[in-house]
Amino acid sequence: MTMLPEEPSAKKLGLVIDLDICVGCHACVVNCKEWNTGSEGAPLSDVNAYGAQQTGAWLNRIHTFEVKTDSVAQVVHFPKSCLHCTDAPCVTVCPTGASYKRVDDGIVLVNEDHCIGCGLCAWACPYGAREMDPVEQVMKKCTLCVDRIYNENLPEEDRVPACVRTCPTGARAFGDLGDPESDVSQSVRDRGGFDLLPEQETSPVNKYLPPREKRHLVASDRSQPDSQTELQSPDVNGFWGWVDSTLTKLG
Amino acid sequence: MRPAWSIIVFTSLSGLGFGLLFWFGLGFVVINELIDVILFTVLGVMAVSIGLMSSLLHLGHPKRAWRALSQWRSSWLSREGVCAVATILCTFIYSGVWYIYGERPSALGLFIAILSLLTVWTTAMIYASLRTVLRWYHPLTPWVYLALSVCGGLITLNAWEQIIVGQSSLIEITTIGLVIAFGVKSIWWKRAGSQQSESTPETATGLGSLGQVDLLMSPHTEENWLQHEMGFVVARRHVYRLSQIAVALTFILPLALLWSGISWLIMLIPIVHFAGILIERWLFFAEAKHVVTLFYGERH
Ligand code: SF4
Ligand code: SF4
Ligand code: SF4
Repeated sequence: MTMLPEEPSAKKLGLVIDLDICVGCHACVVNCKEWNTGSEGAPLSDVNAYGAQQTGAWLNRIHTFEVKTDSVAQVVHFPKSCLHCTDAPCVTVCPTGASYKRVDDGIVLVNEDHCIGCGLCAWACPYGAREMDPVEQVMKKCTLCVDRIYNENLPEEDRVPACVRTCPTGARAFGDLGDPESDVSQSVRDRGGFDLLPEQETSPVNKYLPPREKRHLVASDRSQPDSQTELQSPDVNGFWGWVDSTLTKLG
Repeated sequence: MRPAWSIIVFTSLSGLGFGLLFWFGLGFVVINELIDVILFTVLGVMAVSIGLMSSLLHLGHPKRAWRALSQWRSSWLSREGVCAVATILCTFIYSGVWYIYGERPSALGLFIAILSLLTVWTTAMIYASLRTVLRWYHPLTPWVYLALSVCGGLITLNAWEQIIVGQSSLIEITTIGLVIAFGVKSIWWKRAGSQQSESTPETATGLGSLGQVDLLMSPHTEENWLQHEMGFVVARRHVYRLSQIAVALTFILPLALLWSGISWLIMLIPIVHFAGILIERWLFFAEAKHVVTLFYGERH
C-alpha cells in the first residue's frame, strides 16, 4: 500500500552523516554494494563494468563539493543515500504498492516482485536516492540494511548498516531519530544537524552535521608562514634533494 | 528530463484519443449509418490503446502492469490507469448499445465524456504533482493537457465530418477551441519561463550558510542512470526554434487550413496538429529540470 502510515511512526530509524569527518574514501559505497548485492532482492548489477561507459545501480554515493567560505575554499565530501523521509513522495506516487514505508520503524522499502519499473518514484525523490537496476529493471534503493539491523544471526556489533560498520572515520551514525534521547538525536541537537532541501517538505529522517570551521586555514593566518606551510616545502638534501631540484628544473 | 518517445507518444496519442471519446460521449459526432458508430469507436479506442501500449513499453516489467491499478488512493499514475480502463470499457458498452438498439444511450455518453476528461486530468497530474520538477509543478499544467486534448478531438471531428458528409459544421467551435488551447499553453510557457527555483546547490547540500557550493567531483566517472534520466540538457537555441515550430504546427497552421475551405486540406489538419503536439510534448520533458541535478553541478 503506497499510502503513507497515517501517523508517522514513533521510531524513526535513520542515519546521521557527519560532513566534518567524512574523508570521501567511498568505503561505505563499496561495502553497501557488497552487502546489498548478496542480499534478498536481485543483485545490484553493473553493466560493462570494465569498459568505457559502464553503468550500474548503487544505493549510496559520495559527491564532493567545494564551498567558498569568506576566507578559504573548503572541500566537503558528501555521502548520500536514501533519507527515509517521513513524508516520502516516492512512496505515494508508486502505482503498484511496491514502494512502502514501514509503520514500525519508518524504513522505506521496495518490494521488487511487485515493481513494474516505471521509474516514477525516482522522479519523485528530490535526492536521487533511487536507481533503476539496469539488468533486473526494478527500482533499487537503500534498505537501511534492514537485513542486518534486526538480524540475530549476526554478532551484535554487526547489527548496524553495512555503510556504518565499514566507515573508517565514523562519519555515519545509525540510530533512532524519533527518540530525542538517542545518541544520534543528541548529536543532531549539539551540532546543529540539518535537512537537505527542506523546501521540498519531505521531512527526511536522515540528518547531516555541518563541517566545523577550519580555524587554522583562515586567510589572515596565511601571511605568516606557519608550521604547516613549512611542512609542505621541506628542505631536502642529498640524493632526494638532487631528485627534487632536477625534477623542478625539468618543469 | 529525458524526453522518452514512449512517454511522448503515450501522452499525445492517448490525449487525442480521450479528446475524441469526450465528443463522442457528448453525441457531437456526425453519424450517417450505424456502422459509423463502430468505426468511430475503433478510431478513438485505437488512439487511446496505442498510446497506453506505448507507455507500457516504458516499463521494466510490462507483464506486471495490472498491479498499477491498485494504488488509486495515493498515486496519480494508478488513477490514470483506472480511469483509462473504465473509459474504454464504458465506450464499448456505449457503442454496443447504440449499435444494437439504434439509439444513443446519452446518460452513459455523458459519463464517458466526464471519464475521458478525468483520465486526461490524471495523466497530467502525474507530472503536475511532482514537486521535484518545478516546471510541471503548477495548477495550470492539467488545464494545458485538457485544452489540448479537447481541441485535438475537435480538429479530428472536423476531418471526420469532411470525410463522412463532405462538409464540416464545426469550423467555428474548432477555431474557438484552438484559440483557447493556444492561450492556455502560452500562459503556461510564459509562467514556466519566468519562474525562479528556490532550490540551489546550497539548499541541496545544506551548506549555504558557509558559502557558495560548487560540485568538485561527481560520485563516479561515467554518467549514471539518474543523470541519464533527469539530467537531459537541450541547447537554448534549439528550444527557441522548436517552440516556434510547435506553435506553428499545433495552432497557427491548423487555424489557417481550417478557414481555407478546401476539403482535403481540412482532412489534413489532424496530422499537422498532432505533429505539433509531439514537439510540444518533447519540449515539455526536455525543458524540465529535476531538482536532483543540483547535486550534480547544475544551478537552475
Ligand atoms: S530520500 Fe528519496 S527515496 Fe528516500 S524516502 Fe526520501 S524521497 Fe524516498
Ligand atoms: S518503479 Fe517500481 S517502486 Fe517505483 S513507482 Fe514504479 S512500480 Fe513503484
Ligand atoms: S544503510 Fe545499507 S543500504 Fe543504506 S546506504 Fe548504508 S549500506 Fe547501503
